[in-house]
Amino acid sequence: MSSNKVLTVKQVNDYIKNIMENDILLSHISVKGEISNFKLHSSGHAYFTLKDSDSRIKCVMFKSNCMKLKFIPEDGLAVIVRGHFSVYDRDGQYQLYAEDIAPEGTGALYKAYEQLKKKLAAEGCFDSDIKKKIPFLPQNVGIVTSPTGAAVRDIISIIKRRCPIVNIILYPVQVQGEGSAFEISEGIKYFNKEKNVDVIIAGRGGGSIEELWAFNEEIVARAIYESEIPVISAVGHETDFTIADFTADIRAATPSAAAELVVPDIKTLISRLSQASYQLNNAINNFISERKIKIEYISRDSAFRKVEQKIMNYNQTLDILNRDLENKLLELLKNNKNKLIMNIEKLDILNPASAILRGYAVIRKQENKSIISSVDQLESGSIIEIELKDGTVSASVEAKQKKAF
Amino acid sequence: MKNNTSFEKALERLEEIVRKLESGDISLDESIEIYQEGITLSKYCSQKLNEAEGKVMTIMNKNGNNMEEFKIS
Repeated sequence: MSSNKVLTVKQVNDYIKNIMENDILLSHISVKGEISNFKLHSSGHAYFTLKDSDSRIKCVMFKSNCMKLKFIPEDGLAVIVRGHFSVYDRDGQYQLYAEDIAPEGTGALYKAYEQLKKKLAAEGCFDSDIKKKIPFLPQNVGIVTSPTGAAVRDIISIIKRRCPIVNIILYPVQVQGEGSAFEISEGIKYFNKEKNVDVIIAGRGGGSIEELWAFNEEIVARAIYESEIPVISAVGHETDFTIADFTADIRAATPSAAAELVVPDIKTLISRLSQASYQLNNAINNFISERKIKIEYISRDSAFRKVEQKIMNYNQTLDILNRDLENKLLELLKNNKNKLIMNIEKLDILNPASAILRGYAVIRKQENKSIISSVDQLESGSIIEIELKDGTVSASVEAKQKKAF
Repeated sequence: MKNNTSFEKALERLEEIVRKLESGDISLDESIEIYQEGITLSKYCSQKLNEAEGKVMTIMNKNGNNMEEFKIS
């Protein structure tokens, strides 16, 4: 040891720090390893250890860099950390100051995609039972996409061709680059606030994963999930699946496919309607004529004839009964007539007139016309009237003799 | 019929009425009743399909409601 110079702890740490920060390799370095003990502090800084089977390095990532990460690092993840080495002089601890973290193997975007997908799926944002039904014949269709390019042209021209009566409202946005995800989410919120459309198409034409990235951002996925108006996602090509596709009520493979989905072909509807109207008139005519035929058929039916027969039988029975009744009455009448005649004959005998006819006479007192039936009613000299069959005779009583019994 | 009845529901109901009438499995009174309903539905649907051509608009002011006609470039 040639020098006896004594240094303070701080001086040693500063010296080492200076060497590290000026070292060509250590000041710009990429280190691969596995993340462990990852902790995101409430300050926004992240602390973790990078390790492999033999060794470990302390790492720190400040808030400003953490915010740029597309995914959240997690324990056990194999990554490549880019940054520089320095010394945390309070502890004399050298550490890797991470500026970016990339998952090893798959890309960071892919990792971010996987993580957001997992998170939203766990929250139930993709559940099929929350999917809203796309209206069959919307009056107004909202589109959130770029006002330039093939996608908007395809969507509008296909909707117009299939169903010209539909109104279209375009909310123009940037579909890639800084701020595009925010604009897209604002477009979906705009239609929900104004409630001026029945369904929304959100999408863009094909591109690289970076170009489609806005549709993998949480803000867009959530705006679609929270939309009260049904949303059709229409991003890129057949093979591109974005997070927006999972939260949308329907995923259309392409913008053109979205336009095919969103409105029915009006020609099909017109022919369906005219067929139904034709069948309606046909059906009512058939319904009525079938019943007419049925009535005629029934009226000829044997069941009907049986009833008729029954009625006729009853009529016949009635006739017979009537005749019987008449006969009985006539007989009764005849019997009564004979009785009557006999009674009349009996009566006849009692009739004084008939006695007169046979030669008897009726004697009355002249003064009071009272009939004389006893000698006691008369005195000598009484004037009497004798009634005979053809007149009366006046006479006076000469004498009277009472029978002695 | 309410004006917000969906076209789809109206058309489906019309087709259901046709099937019912064709089945003949209903009373005469009911048949006349649903036939009249069918006529109303048919008129409503055809009116919907014959509406004027829709507009294509674009939003000009994202905070307000300003729109103008959008021409495909």
